[in-house]
Amino acid sequence: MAEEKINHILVPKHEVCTEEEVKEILSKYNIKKDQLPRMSHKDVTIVSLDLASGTVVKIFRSNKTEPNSIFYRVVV
Amino acid sequence: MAEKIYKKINKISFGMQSPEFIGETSVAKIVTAELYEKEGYPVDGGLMDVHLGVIDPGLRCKTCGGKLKECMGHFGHIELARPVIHINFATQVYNLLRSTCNECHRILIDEKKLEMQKERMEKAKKANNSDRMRFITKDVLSKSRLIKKCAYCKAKQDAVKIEKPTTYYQGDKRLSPIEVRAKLEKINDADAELLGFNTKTSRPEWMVLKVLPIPPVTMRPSITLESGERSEDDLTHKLGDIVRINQRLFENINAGAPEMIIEDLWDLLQYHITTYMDNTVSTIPPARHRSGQELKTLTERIKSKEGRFRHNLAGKRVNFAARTVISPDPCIKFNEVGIPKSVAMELTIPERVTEWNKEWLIKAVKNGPKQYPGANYVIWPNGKKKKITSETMEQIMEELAVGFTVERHVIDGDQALFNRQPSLHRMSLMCHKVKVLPGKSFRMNPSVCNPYNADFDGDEMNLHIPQTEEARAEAEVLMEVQTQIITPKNGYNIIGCVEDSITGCYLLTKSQEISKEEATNILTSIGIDNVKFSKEKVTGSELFSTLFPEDFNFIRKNKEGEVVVRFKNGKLDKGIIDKNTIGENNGELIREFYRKYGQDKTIVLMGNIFQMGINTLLKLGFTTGVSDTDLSDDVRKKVDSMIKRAYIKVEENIVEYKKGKIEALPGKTSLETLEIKAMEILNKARTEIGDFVKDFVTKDNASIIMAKSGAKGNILNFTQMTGCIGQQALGGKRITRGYRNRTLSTFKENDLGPEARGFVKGSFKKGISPTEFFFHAMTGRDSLMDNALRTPKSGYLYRRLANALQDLKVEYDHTVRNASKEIVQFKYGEDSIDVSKSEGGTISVINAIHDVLGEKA
Ligand SMILES: [Mg+2]
Ligand SMILES: [Zn+2]
Ligand SMILES: [Zn+2]
Repeated sequence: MAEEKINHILVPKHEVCTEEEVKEILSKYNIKKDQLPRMSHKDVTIVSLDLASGTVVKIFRSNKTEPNSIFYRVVV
Repeated sequence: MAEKIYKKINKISFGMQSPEFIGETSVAKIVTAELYEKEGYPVDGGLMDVHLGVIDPGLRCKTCGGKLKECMGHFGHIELARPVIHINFATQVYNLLRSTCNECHRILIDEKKLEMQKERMEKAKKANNSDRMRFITKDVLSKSRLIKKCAYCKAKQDAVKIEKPTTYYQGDKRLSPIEVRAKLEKINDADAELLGFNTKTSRPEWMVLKVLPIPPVTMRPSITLESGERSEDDLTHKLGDIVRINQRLFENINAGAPEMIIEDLWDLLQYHITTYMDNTVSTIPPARHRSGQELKTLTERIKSKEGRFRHNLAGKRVNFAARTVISPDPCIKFNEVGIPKSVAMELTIPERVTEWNKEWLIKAVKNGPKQYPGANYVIWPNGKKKKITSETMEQIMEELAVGFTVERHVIDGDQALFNRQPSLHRMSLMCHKVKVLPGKSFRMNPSVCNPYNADFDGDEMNLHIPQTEEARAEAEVLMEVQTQIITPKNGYNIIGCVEDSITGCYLLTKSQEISKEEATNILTSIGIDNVKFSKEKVTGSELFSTLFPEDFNFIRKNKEGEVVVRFKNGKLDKGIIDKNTIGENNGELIREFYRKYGQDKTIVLMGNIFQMGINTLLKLGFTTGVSDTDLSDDVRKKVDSMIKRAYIKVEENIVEYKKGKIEALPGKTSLETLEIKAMEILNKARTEIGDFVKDFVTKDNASIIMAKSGAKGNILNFTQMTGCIGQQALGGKRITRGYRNRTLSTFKENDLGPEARGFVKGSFKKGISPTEFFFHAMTGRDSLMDNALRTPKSGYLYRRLANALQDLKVEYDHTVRNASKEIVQFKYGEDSIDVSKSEGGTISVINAIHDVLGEKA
């Protein structure tokens, strides 16, 4: 069941960031990793990916006024 | 001054002070109740000892050498001749005595269970779960206190009792505090941990005092009365009693006085120390002043509404503020506030005397505090401040020169901050210009009721006068009414025209044609005197158009896309002005004007429209009364027949249902289907009655005009007054509650007809039958209760939400971050739209194109 959650139509696309991407994000916003929004490694959407703490996840979520919204979360 | 280095607090731990700690931190041992020597110098070893800090200017602290305000003060101590119980720990001491053995002082539960509890406690401690730790302690206490025989030394246990507040008995024998302390001393550390003590910071026996810390004089300063007499703080009084009795107890013990006398003094010492800690203990009489007033001791300083937390820390008070009842005044501007003269003479503004304002400030000083516009205080360039009275007047007038500061009364045009609680959004505190008026209430334009959520059923509001140039500038630039026209909630205008002004503009632009004299009159009453009319007759639209600049274009379309209102080159050439054009939240015209001409011109325009509306209405005359709801016999008959037709339709459905022929809607039973159909039919009937009735009333029916213009009320209100109140519903369904199979005993069982299920066919004008009245009262009470329960709940919910969000901020890189700069959103709202510059949260691209290309697009 859990593996299917990430492919569910209502779950926005989650993608694991590469090291370079993470570096870029952190320097773009001038922050440390712990200042990113967090998500639990047990979160149903990513539990099947079995991500390590500290992984940054890129989330493509769109809404009425902004179809290309991008969000980042760090796994805790 | 030396640079201060701040350290971050890493941890706070709460515990008890040991006698050793009290001794170590003490800077002076207090041995005498005397306070001052004959010369007025504090006695060494007295309660005002200069080692404890200084409260007199000029003196220096003997401990740290600091002067007044430099030295924070230092604790002293007294050694008690005999120990006493700390009142705040009386119940804890009681619990410990009950739960431990009277002979060997172990916890009374047997070894196996004790080990188990200790393990649980260890686990909870590791998990840092203080709730769990507290629970285990409670569990241990309750399980051990009823055991009659010690599991370790097999001693029989005498019941320990407490006589409130601080006397303990073991069986029939009274335990002196010495004995209590001895018992507590013998509880071993491991047991104490289980009983809720962190033995590294707190030992049970410290709950019985051997030494008493004496707080520094800086927290109990004496005040010098005008007569030169010194008046000591309540705490000093109380400490004096303690020291006095303690010394007497020492003397009596040393002299070998009889035990009786010693015990009496000991009890007295206990009483004084108890009331010193807490003077509101219910079982003993409170200590009093000679005047009979109760002393305010340590606990009272902290506790309750007047205590340190709620009074001084949570509730700060300000000067230069006023509060009174508000009342409406349509004649003052939106950004003005009417304040009573009596208030204006209390609130002042400090103004520096210069060559340019010297003359009028001298006049203000001459008028003094009792004549408006005057002044209350004068401040010398060196900071000396003097109240203006008839005695000081002469000297002040002589010395007053450039460089002085005069605290003058507020005058028309000064900035004032106006506020109504609850302050839920930023529009709850706005800057208004002062307007001094006769009377005793604050006056405000009814158009600014909406942002404050105020009405005039007894509401009170607060007013503050900013005291510095910077504060006034900030208030004017950031908080004045015109800066708040558009709400950041949805980008709509929170301020607009209301009630009479809407009715007035509606009637004016609908079909009025007035003479040029009358038109000029209305304009003059607004304060516009530069408009000349060439024609003899002026239409309402032409008059209304005079308020707009010539390059103003505006189009309002309805949902179907038809043009409803149109301005072309500053002329209203189509449409009627109503709530959707100039009203609050809906006023499209207001928002359009705001976008093109800015806040200052908009507030002036709104004021002018408002004045034109009410002045038109004044000229036309406008009133509503019972006759508005009159219906002719014919119309009444038609209404009755419409109700009857609906009844028949419902009846038909009921017959179908009873035959079992009704076709059930998907997912519904046939009974539910019948109910839905009945509701539909009856509600439709009332709507039709409303539509029918409103066309048959006279053209100048005030209720209808108000409903159509959007000034107040709607067609449903009118229908209920004239035609039919309609179906009463509880929880979205017809009324079914009541007796078995029927709502009221007048109806037959299983009657599904309209009247048996809460349809009210009467109107408020005509009156309703007893059964209808009952049904109406049912829904009335339901909504009343709903409101009364929902309002505080949603209010608290909103408060919690606002508190959780209050320090979120949009940074320059468009991210939303909290106080520790953690990112909450990478783009404000995910779309970077500034809501206050949008229409209901979205940006219309088409409108933007229109703006650039002009009308053609
Ligand atoms: Mg009210
Ligand atoms: Zn000092
Ligand atoms: Zn024992």
